[in-house]
Amino acid sequence: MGILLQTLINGIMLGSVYAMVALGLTLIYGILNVPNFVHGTLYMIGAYIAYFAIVSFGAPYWVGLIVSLIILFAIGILLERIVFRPFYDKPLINSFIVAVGLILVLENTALSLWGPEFRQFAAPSDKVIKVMGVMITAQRIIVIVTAAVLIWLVHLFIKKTRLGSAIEATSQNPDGALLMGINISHMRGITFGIGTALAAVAAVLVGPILLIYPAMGHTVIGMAFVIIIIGGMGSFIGAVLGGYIIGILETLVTSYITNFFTEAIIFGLLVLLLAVRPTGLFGKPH
Amino acid sequence: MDKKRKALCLGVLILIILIIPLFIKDEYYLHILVMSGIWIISALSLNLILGYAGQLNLAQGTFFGIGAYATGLLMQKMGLSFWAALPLGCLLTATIGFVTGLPTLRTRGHYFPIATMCLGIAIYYVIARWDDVTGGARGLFGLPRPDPIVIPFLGTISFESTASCYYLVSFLVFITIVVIHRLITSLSGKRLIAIRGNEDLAQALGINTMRDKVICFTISTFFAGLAGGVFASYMGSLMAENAHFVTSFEMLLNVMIGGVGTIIGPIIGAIFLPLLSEELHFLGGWRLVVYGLILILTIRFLPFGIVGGIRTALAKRHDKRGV
Repeated sequence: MGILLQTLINGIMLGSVYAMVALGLTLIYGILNVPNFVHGTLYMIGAYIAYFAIVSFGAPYWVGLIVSLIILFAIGILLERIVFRPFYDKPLINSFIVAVGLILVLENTALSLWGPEFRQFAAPSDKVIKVMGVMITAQRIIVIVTAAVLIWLVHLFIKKTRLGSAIEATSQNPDGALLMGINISHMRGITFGIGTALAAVAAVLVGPILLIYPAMGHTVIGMAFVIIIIGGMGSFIGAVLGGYIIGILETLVTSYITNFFTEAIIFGLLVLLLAVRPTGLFGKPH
Repeated sequence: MDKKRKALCLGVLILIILIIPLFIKDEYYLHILVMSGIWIISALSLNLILGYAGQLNLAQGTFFGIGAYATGLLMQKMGLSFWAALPLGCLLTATIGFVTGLPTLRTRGHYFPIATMCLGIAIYYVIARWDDVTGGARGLFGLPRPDPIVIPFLGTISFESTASCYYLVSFLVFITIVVIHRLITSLSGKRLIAIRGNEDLAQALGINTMRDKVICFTISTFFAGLAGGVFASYMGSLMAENAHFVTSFEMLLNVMIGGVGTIIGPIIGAIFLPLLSEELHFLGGWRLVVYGLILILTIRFLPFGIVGGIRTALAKRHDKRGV
């Protein structure tokens, strides 16, 4: 019982991270129609920026988180403007390959500047809370609560503000949105920024628990794609629910079945799912 | 160009390729040429599925890794000769390609690169973690070079020297080019190009698009496995990273910078980039950053690579003369 509860809490924590990364990815997909392969690399950059703010400049944890959020928001807007925008009217394959180029650039810059070694920064609190015979570190609670609050805020932003409604309108029907006087280019930039900032926050939240290194985004981006395919590409609720489900599933597989082939099992299951439903669980048919 | 001149050009080219080792005495440059040959085979394999059928397979590097590990393990653990292990390794890769192509090729548009990326990650983790068989993260060491071939009365050909490996790889490159050229100039090649253009339309015209895509995918994984198998025996050691999607990226670079959808393009890319890589050696890790920038700029300004750029330039000159 204790182990199961511990596993579930770890699963929800991992799920919180996945939900945030997948939410960013799905927002970007919904509005730009681009599967953003760079997302995992930007997640990594977000973690490093917080690391330097906290460890090199001695900033408090929360300041590091906000600095990383703001910088990655700006990087997202810049990337959309400079790198992705010229390719909207080009064949689909071009933006994929540009994303691959960006991964090479960003990841190897990180590797050359900061080296391959693992890094970590301290959690804001090292308290351990004991509930029903289970030890929970404060950082796990911080991850779970912050993620939930942030996801709720993004939801409110999209549903309750003018800007959010404009973003939603653009994702539903870009031509219609254009006719209503919405500046689509702006919406694309802002969405790319928000999506990227979400990935950065997710990385900073797990920074004290997992390790920071240049290739840390590889598995996360793979998982995020698994999640948004299962939840339906572009779907808000699909990405969030899918994130929690995959996070819990991954921890359960690791604890109870095998800790060597977890990733192979999950990615293999996705390929099988696509065999049965080529557009994912909730996707529309071709 | 008439047939005679074409044959002459081809003859001269083959002669140049044959006598190159007589002039290059520096083993290191010969080594780069061998690596170029291996990259040519793998770039042509990716180009077949990407350039002709229009499907971006991000697991191509993983199939390279499967071919490499299969050939290496068949030699090391089963004691097979290279000449038996290589074809078996390629067949195994193509079988896995066929089995995994069936589900992934059902997806279209955005879903296919994502599905193949996930497939690649899944297989990579199997290779990286299956310690008992693949050696896991430590990798695989001490793989033998191809066994010597004994020709009665004439002597034996051994493959210890880099020059002999150069000839072997050149021969395999030649076979690959011939097979892929035959394939894309055949009727099924035309069908693939139709699928690349518009899959729904191709299907409406009565093309069994799924069948053609699966056949193309299987053949392309066969050649990726071939490149991997030769790589394993030539290098003598393997790391799980050889099966990572970074290898797919490297293939993609060769194809895109040379010119996607042509035979000569990936060949140019696979010769040009390793040479460039030597020139950029002083950059260390920044080399790949430069590569990434080159890739982005190529797609932006020369979407059909070096070959596409030359063609456009020639067409412009032609137009000017016409006026």
